[in-house]
Order: sequence, then C-alpha cells, then structure tokens
Amino acid sequence: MRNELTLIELADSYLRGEMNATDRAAFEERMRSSEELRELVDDQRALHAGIERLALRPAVDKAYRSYKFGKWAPGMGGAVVVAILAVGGWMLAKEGNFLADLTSSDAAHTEQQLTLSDTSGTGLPALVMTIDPKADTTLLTPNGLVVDIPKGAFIDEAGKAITKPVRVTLLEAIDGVDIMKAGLSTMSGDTLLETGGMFYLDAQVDGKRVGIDPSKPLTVMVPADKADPRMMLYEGVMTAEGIVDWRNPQPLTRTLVPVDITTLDFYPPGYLAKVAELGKDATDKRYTDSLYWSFSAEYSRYTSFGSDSTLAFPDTLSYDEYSRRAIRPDPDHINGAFLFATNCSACHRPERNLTGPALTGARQRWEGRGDIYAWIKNSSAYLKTGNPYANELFRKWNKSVMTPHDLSDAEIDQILRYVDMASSASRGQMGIDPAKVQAIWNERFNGTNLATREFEERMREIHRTCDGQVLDLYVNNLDRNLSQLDSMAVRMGHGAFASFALRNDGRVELPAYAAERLRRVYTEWSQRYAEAARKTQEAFHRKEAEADQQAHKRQVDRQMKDIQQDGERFVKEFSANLRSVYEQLGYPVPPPNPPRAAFAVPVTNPGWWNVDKAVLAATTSRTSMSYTDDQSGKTATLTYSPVSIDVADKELFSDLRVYLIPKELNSYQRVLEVNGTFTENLNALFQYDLVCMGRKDGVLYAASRQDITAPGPITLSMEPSDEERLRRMVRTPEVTTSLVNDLVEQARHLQWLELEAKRQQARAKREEFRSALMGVVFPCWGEGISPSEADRAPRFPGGDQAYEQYLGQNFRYRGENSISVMVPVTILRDGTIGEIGVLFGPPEEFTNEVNRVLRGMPIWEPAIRKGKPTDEIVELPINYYVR
Amino acid sequence: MSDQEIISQLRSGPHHKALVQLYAHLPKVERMVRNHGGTRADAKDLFQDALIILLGKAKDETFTLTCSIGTYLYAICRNKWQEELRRQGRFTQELETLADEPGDLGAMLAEEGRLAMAELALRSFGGKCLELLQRFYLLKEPLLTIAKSIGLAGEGAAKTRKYKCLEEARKRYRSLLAQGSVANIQQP
Repeated sequence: MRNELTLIELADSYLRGEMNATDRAAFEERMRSSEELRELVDDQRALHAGIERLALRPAVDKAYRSYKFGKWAPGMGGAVVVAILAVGGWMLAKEGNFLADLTSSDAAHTEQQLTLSDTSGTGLPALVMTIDPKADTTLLTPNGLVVDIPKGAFIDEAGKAITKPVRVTLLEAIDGVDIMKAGLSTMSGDTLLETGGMFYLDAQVDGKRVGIDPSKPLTVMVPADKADPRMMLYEGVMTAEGIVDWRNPQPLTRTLVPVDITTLDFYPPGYLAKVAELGKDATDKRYTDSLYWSFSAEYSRYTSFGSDSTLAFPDTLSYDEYSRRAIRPDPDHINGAFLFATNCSACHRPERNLTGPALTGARQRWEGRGDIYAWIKNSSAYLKTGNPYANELFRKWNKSVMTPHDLSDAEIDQILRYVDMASSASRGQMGIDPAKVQAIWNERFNGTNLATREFEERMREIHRTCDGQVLDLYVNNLDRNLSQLDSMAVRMGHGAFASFALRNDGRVELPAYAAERLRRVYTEWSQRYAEAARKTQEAFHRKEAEADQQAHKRQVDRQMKDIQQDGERFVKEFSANLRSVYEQLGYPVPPPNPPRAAFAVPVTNPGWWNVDKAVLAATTSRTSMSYTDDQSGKTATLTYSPVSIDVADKELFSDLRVYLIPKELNSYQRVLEVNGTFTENLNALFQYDLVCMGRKDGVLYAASRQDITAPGPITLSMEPSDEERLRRMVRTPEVTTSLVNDLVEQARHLQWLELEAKRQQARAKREEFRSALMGVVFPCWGEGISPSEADRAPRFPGGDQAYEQYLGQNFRYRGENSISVMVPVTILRDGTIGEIGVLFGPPEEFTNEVNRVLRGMPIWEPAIRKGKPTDEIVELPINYYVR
Repeated sequence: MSDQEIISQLRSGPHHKALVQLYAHLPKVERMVRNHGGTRADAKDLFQDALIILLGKAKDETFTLTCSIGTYLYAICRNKWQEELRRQGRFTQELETLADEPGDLGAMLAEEGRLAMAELALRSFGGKCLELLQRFYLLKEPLLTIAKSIGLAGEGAAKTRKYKCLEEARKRYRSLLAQGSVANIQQP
C-alpha cells in the first residue's frame, strides 16, 4: 500500500476513534510535528462531514416540499398559477377520481430522452404517464403541482373526444433553481417577470399531439406562498433564438368551492342581531326568512309610490348592457341632466311633486293626449288650443303658468329621457328587495357562484350599496367569473367592490343553458315572491282598515245612542222641574210635551217665558234656582246638591264608568270625572241609585249603591262581576227592564273598548317592531324616508291602475261631450271616503255619478304623516272621453 | 415543538417533522435575500444550507443554542448572503441583523465554507465511490457486504477502493479550495 493510502487509513481510524490509547498518543504526537498530516486529518474530517451533509440533502428537500404543500393544501383556493410553456396537451394518471402521487417511483417514470423539440435541452425530468381519458383524473406532482383532468377533455383533430389511452408529459420548473437549470427565461418582451413557477404540458396519442376541448379545460393549481393578485398566466412562445418569450398574459383565477347555499348568510348585515335584540328567535331560520321576506311589501310600496306601476321591478340588464352603460355614459344623458338643471329644476323634480308635477313618465302621460313639445315650449299658447289634458294639468297645479322654454325638440327629448333614467337609477338605490334574496337563497342556486363563501361576502356589500342592480348583475351572469362582475360593480359606482375585483375570484362552472334558466328563475320568482309579500300585507292592511272602519262605526253608533239617551233624560228632567216650579207658583201644570217639542213650548203669557227660561237654565247647568213670580209674589225653588263619588283602586281599571239612576225618571246619566273625582249635582226632586262599572284583565267589575245622598263622598269598592250580577245590582222596583238592558249594553261596550285597545296595541307593537328592523333591512332609507316614518300620500288599493280600472267598470254616465275634472276627495284616516268636493259646471247627472262612484270606492290606504294615519284631501281625476 | 425539542429530534431523528417546522423561518430569509438582489430560489438554497449546518451541529452533544433557532438560521443565511454579495462584488451595505444574534458565527462559518467545499467535491464524482463511502461511513455496513453489493472481489478490494476514493475526493477538495470558489451549491 502506498504511503499516502496508509496515512489516509491511519487518519481514518483516528477520526473514527478506532485507535487504542497508545497508537492514538503516537499519532497525535506525529500530527504536532507534521503540518502535512494535520492538514490531511482536517481534510478527511471535512470529507466525512461532507459525506454526511450530502446524505442530508434529500431529507431537507423533502421537508421543503412538505412545508410548501402543507401550506396551501388545506385552502385549495389559495393556489396561484404562474406560467405555461406551451399548452399542447396533458399529463399523467391512472383511471378514476384519485390522486396519483408522482413521488412514488412506480407511479411515474423518469424519461431522460424527450422527443419534443421545444422542451429539449431543458434538463428537467419529465413526468410521463398514460391515462384513461374517459375518466376524471387528478394528479399531484412531487413539487406540489395539482392537475385536474376532466373526463373527455382530450379531443382529436375532428373535435371528438378521445377514448384511447393518452400519454401525458409534464415538466415543471416551480422554483428558481429548476428554472435556471432549464435555461428558461423570465422575460416577457423586454420586461423581467417575477415568476411563481412554470410548467409544461403535452398529451399525445400514438405519437400525435391531441387537443383540449375548450369547454373542458384542465385546471392546474400551482402551490404558492401567498396569492399575489398581480400574478398572471403567460403563454410561452419559443423565439428564433431558442429563448422562450412569455406572451398573452391572463389573470389567474381563484377557484370557487361551492357549499350548501342554505348554510350561507344573505341577510342584510346586522339583521339577525337586530331580530335577536328585539326579543325574537333569530336562530329559527324559517321565522327569520319569512320575516325578512315580508319586508318586500314595504319595498314594493315604497318604490312604487308615485309611479304608475304597482310593483317596481328594476329592469334586468344583460352583462353587455351593463358594460355599455357603465363604461360609456350616454352623452345625451349628461346633456339632459344639464338642461334639466338649468330649465326645469326650479319647479320640477324627476320623482317628486314640487311647484309642478314630477316629470318621470311625463312623456307617457301625454301619449295620445296632446303635444308635449308644444306644451313645454309655450304652455300658455298651448292652453288656448283647448287641449283637455293641458287644461286639466293647469287646473290641477293651481293655475300656475309654466314659463316658455326656448328648447328644441331634441333637447326636450334629452330632458325627458334624463328624468326617466334618473328615476330608475335612484330607484336602484332604494335597497335590495327581500323578494329577490328569497328568490336566490334556495337549493335551485346550489352549485353556482351564489353558493360560495365568496359570494356571501359580496352579498353583504351588495346590501350596503342598496342598489338592486348590483344583485341583478351577479345573479344574471352566473356563467361569468366573479372578478369580472366585481369590476362591473366598480364601474357602476360601487368602489367597495374593488377589493373583490383584485382577488381574481373565478366561478363555479355552469353551462350557459343553466345560467339562462336560472336567470329566468330569478326574474320570475323575485316577482312571485314580491307579489306574494305585497298581497299578504295588503290583505293584512285591508283587514285592519275594515276593523278600523267597523270600530269607528261602532263608536259613532254608541255616541249617537248616548246623545239621544241623554237628551231624553234631559227632557224628562226638564219637564219634572218645570212641573215642580208650576206647582210651587200655583199655576196649572201644562200638558206633557212631546219630548222634541220641549224647547219650543208655545207661550201665550209673557210671564211664563221667563219661568221656562230659568228652569231650562237650571236644568242645563244643574244648579239650584229660586224664582219669584211678579204677579203672585210666590217663590219657587229647584235644588241641586253636589255629591262626590270615589272608587277604590280606580287607577287599576281601564275606562271606569259611573252612572246615576234617577229612579223617578226611569233613566240614567253618566257622571264625568273632573280633576280625579266623579262629581255631579243631584236633583232634590229625585231618588238616585248609583252604579259603577269598569274592566280589568278582561273581567267586568262593578259596584252599586242605592238611594245615595249628597254630598258624600261615597266610596265604592269594585268587585268582579258579570252581566247577571250587574242586572241584579241596578234592578229596583222603580226601573224598567229596558233601562237595565241599556246599562248592560254600556258594560258590553266597555268590553268591546277593551278588546279594541288591545288590537290597537298589537298593531302599534307590530309597527314599532317593523320600523325598528327597517333601518337594518333597508340601510339606505334612513330617517324620514322609511315608510313608517315617512309622509305618504293616500293610495287607492292596487294603485292608480286599479283606480282607473275601477272607474272604467263603474262609471255609468253617458253624455255627449268629453269631460275632464279633478275632484277633491277627503280620504279619512281609516281609509274611508270623507267629503267629496262640489263640482260646478258639469251637468248634474255627471256630478251625481261622480259622487256615487267615488262614494263606492273600496277602502284606501290612508295618508301617513309622522308615522300616523291622517285625513288627507286628494285630487282624483275623472276623465270622460267621447270618441 | 419548542426549540429544544427540535434540536433533540434533529439529533436523534426522525427529523422530518422538525425540519418541516423549521421552514417556517424561510419567509424571513426570503425577504432579506430578495431585498438585497437575490431571488426566492437563492433564499431557499441558503436556508437549506443553514438547515444542513444546524443538523450537523445538533449531532454534537455539546452544542447549545445561545439564541432562538429562527435567529440562528437567519444569522447563518445573512452571513452567507453577505459573503456571496461580497464575492460577486455587489456588496454595498451590511445586511440587517437581528437583536439576539449570536456573535460567534464567524469561526463557525469559516469552517462551514470548507465543509460545503468538501460536500461539493464528493458530489462531483458520485457513482460507486459515493455509494461506498456513504454505506461505510453513514450506514456503517461491513466492508464485505458493501463489496458484494457493488460488485467488488472482497473486503480487501473494498478497503483499497475506499481509500482511493477518499484520496480522490481530497484531491478535488484541495483543488476547489485553491479556486476559492464558494459558489452556490447546485442541488441534484
């Protein structure tokens, strides 16, 4: 053995600790003296370490892959692709829906020899595999690239799906080393790209490259540390110099993973929290759904107010229309806005009446009725032509004259188009119709863009825009990437969607026909749901209005009876007083008067006139009087003495009623509460019984006292009672059954009042609840706009169209001349018809018919002022045309 | 896993989990490298070298950390990258250091340069020599077994072949040292 080798052997055994102590000491001694030996040993030690290090490299690399894969695998959505070298075809796998791990050597071969010209010389190991194109295949490469191959993705030249096994080659250069080693550039033209990795795919059958069906693209997910929204997918093109130039960048999309749509939250932000705060069960989705849905009625009512349609449903626009509108504002529109501001805005608004009427729909209203251009240019001149509609308008708007405008027909067109568009745009901002949300939030939309967490996030933002058209945009374009629609939303003026647009969210694949079908589902069901909500609420309001009307009638009836009864009692008392005074003065008692004539007793002697007047005054004011007759010198007196009545715990009772029963009169009178005590003056001529009734917790309470005397105070304590008991209390030999019945009737009325108060309370509570939710459901309505707060005009049930229909069906006048009138009609707070204005001019038959028809109108939705129904006068048009 | 647990796993194996966890410190290194003219791949290489160094150190029973593992790895990478920049003549400023970096990295890294060179030398010839050396030194297989499996006559032949391989490796190592090249180690 050569000397060098011997030394190496010695150094080796020294380093491996194989020497015995003696040898070791000798070797160390030798090392001290020989620098050469020291160096040898050092070198050897380094080489030992080197061997070890080399062996560790694969372990470190393997850990790197685990780290990288583990980082994005759980999310799956976080992958960002990168750069394609050439897309010809695809890669490997076995059959079926499984994950082939190419790190296991038996699943993939490593081919050194590549036949493809544009990959030669890359030095990258190619992964080659034969797959069955008739099955879905998913591949996972050692570097963590995931390739999804849908079945039937590969097609031949004729575009037919390939059934023979396909040989797929995949090259990947995910990190810098691979890229440099493969000599791949990261240049796009003259720009240096920051690369996230590159991959190459090829698929062949019998040595011929096959194509990919564009409708079934392969999906490649490239692992990435973070999703950089600026990452794009470039197509690699081999240049003449043999360098790859990267061209045709396309944004990368984040994959959307559909979930069960019913598990998502499409409510307006804060809705559930508010429901819970108001003490309702926010966890019961069936309840919260139907509650939310019911607000569609408010939406319809609010958005359709003032317009002719009973149900405002914003036009559904196609994607192209959105882009056209959003990108290129119509110059006519801008000009129209300017002309409107300079010429019209002093007296008009698009959607609101001012000095003049709201201009929205003006052109439509004039259709077939006259020349709107001539009217706008010079209204006074046009009035003189006798056009009925112009004259009707003139009268309706307080005969205020519209100043002449120097405008061309084209300019007038621009203005009218602007006002119509402005109103539809502002209608868009009125919030999201809950019916629309109801229409999409169900299984029909499972497996679409809407059934994703990504859309859920957007839904929150959509609620904040209050623009129903944004929701339409997303729902009507289910076959587009969310990011495209985000950009459109930004262009529609909703900047908040910019952060979504940057994320490059993709879509859930959906065939075009399915998207089209769902578009129709959306439109149709939104309308159905809105209609249903509106009808339900209208029915509810109608029922309430009818109940109100009945209640009103009942109250009025009761009051009329009370007035009549009290009048009769008064006449009886007056007659009794009069008789007593006559007797005291020694005059013959006049014959009993028929009650109504009591105030018109024929007087033959002037003396009596004074007497009667005095008795009348005393009876009316219930005060004592003393009268001395001039002729006889006799004095007559009437005595009224005050008595006060107290009821124990009276504050516990609702609507306490105290009645005095003057037995001689077989009548009763109500004692009013003044300053907290029931006081009345008793007529000394009569014996009085006393009865008190009230209600507490749905039970009648009563107390009575016989033959009371002034001045009291008389204290009554109420006891639970019923009608029978009440009858026994008031029944005495002196009073008739009909009087008893009258008092029982009063007790029944008290019971009804109690129920009515409960009904009103329930309604107020409901209104309060809905109004509290309104701000959350329609975040843009704000103070003073929300229907519960807003001032609202009265509305014919079903809207103006329904009104016209009603007239058409019921108006029976048939005259020779056309007549147009505006009739002022008071719509009472309960929705019934109050005063109808008098018409001068039209023939009497016409006027009578107008009155008859207007009287017969169904119950209106009354005006709301400061949240409460109020009486309001509306001017109703009656247009009778003779053709 | 605490730093101490990581070290003990690196020492006694299996160390895969510990290594995966250590990659959590890679992004910080990437940031540093990319802020100073390097690529993500450069950073990965540096970091893997640092892991190798740490693995080597962990084998030493006397090795104790004077700072967190993250800082330790970062400091190694920073030193190496600074050196690389200097070598390329692109060095302009000291790279940012962390507060608790150990101060004694200099000597260790000087030795580390030599070990890297040795690794490179061994890698460059590969083949049967490398297999023989790895089986003998790492797997501690008997020379006779090794001889049989790589087709050598017997124990003696294997022994001679081993020393010849070491000699050759040393020769290449020496020549690399002479070139003074500390270029990035390319991986297989």
